[in-house]
Amino acid sequence: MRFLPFLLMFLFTSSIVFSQKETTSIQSFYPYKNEIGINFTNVLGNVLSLNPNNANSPYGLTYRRHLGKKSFRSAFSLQVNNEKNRDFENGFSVTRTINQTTSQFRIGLEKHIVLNKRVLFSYGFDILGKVMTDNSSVQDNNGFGSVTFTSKETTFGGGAGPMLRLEFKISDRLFISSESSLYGFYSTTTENLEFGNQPSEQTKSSDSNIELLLPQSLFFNISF
Amino acid sequence: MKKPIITIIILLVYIGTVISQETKEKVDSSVYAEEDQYEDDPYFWSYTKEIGINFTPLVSKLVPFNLGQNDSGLIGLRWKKYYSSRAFRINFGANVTSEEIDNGNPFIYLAFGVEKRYPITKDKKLAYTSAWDLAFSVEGEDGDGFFGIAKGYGFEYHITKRIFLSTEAQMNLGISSNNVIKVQFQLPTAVFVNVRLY
Repeated sequence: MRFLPFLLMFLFTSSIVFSQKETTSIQSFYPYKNEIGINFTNVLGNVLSLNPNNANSPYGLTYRRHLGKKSFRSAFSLQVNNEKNRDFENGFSVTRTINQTTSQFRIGLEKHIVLNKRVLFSYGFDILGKVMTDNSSVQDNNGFGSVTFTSKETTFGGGAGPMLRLEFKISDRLFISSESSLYGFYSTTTENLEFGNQPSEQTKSSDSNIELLLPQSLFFNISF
Repeated sequence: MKKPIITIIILLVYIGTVISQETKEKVDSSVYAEEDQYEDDPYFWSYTKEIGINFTPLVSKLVPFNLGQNDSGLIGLRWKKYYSSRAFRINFGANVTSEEIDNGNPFIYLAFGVEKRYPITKDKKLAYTSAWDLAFSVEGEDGDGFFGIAKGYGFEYHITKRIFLSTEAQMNLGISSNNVIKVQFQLPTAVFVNVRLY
């Protein structure tokens, strides 16, 4: 009998908790806290032989952490390209080497508005970053000696801007989304040219962009 | 002694369920409650805000019979604030990147105006809009400018009260940067996905 009040309390609270499952609040839209998104636009285009125009978002992978009506959002992309070619002609040889690395990231916050049980609208603000290195060299072996031309290019960029997003819920764990953004971006590039290990020229340039990116990528998002 | 206890347990569980049902209804209705507040207004879009996003690039990718490059127009984002039956609206589009400058296609577009929406069907799912805008744009490598008025006629389909598709044709009348009068009829080129906010 001593446990009777606890039993009653337990039954009372559990009946409330269990009967609150079916709701259309943000908590029921996102039952799981974490979400990983993969850009599926090209897959759909290639598999279904759809439109061959492949211009899309630079970000291949996104991660979001849901914090109630707000979410932390991030996206990342990395491209590495290493090539080495060697041509022989009349006893001479030319060796060309290219090493390119491009990494872009984006972090931000977004706020959600549940439109109905299946559709969610979000708006937010992003901060962007970009680091790109492009090292290339040409080694010319002409029989009398070897001459090497080297170019080292480094780009740093940053930007910010607002975004809008629409998401469709397929199930509790699977979502489809697309988004539009207005980003301002500024980047500086330093290029060093070397001729036979002697620095010969250094150039610096900068670039600034404002771009309204319309929705052109479809992301499949998985919650966990 | 047992019977009252069992009765109390059943009663408490029942009360708990009833209270939680009410809570559920409150949460359920929280999404729709706001739109229900506007049922007495002339239209369900009265006193709401709308945001439209140009979805043409994505739609054109996923439509099989579209194999060419598409022109999705200059307007990328659209914002409207509806009063009883008329709305104030802003249209915006921009693409000023070094790549587009090299290609000769940079542009900025900005327009302010008023709009009125007319229902076509009884359930108001189909509607057309009539708008007047004050438009400003700069386009191309040489920065060809345009300043003038634009008369727009749009067509809309409401999927739900909060999501709808739209497209619009425009007649532009104004002065270009060469001080030449410009008259241009812009056929509907873009599909907008719009979201209604309360």
